[in-house]
Amino acid sequence: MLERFTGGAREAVYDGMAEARRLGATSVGPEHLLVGVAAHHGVVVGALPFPTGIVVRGAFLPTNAVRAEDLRRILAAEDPEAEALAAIGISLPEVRQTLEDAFGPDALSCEGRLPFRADTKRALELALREAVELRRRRIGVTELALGLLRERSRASELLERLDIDPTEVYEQLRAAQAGLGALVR
Amino acid sequence: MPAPAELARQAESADPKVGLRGVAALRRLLEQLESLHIRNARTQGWSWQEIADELGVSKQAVHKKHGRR
Repeated sequence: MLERFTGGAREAVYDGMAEARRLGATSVGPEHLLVGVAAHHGVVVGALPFPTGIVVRGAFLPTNAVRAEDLRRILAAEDPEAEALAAIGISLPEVRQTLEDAFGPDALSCEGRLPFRADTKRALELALREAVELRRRRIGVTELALGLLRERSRASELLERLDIDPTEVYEQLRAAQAGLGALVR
Repeated sequence: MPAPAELARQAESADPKVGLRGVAALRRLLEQLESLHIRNARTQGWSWQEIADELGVSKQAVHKKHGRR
């Protein structure tokens, strides 16, 4: 699935997967990948008409980026998986506790690789579409960020928790990409 | 008249998004529980037939899904 990703984008995805595991999630969601993206290059906000930042040796370093630790803090405080289950009357902490009593710690998280949720796969498809539309041969971190925010997702909901408008971020990031071409990489 | 908190809870559980997300999360949890317990049974020497009987499915179904692990 990640064949056309650049090294950086791939690392961001791997970081997102590690993040999901750390949080005790049962699957990898767009919100986890967003943390991975933020951990790597930051998700640029408040970019009018271009993101604020500096160019160092051809690489664009945003100075107004969402910090990964802010996203991480929110995700840790509210586990969406546990919340979704609690809403239908199932306590994930209790299930986890029962399993840990029987099988030891990490009983639920020792399952090799966590699966990508359907909405995560959708976001990765959208990242590919972004790359095609921007005439990029490969999917970089920016295209990944665009894919995560192109449609409403858990990733965009996570940004809203920081009072950041995901649509605005998407549009500004997109405009900057289309305008700056190879400069903002 | 129910308390406001109760009203809020009822309104929330009538939201399709809440229910559907709950179902999706439950399905993922189910998959994990299934492979955990099947692995445990195999470790304890259970046959695929015994596992299938307890799960109420065919031996082929269990073996196809979990056999290569």
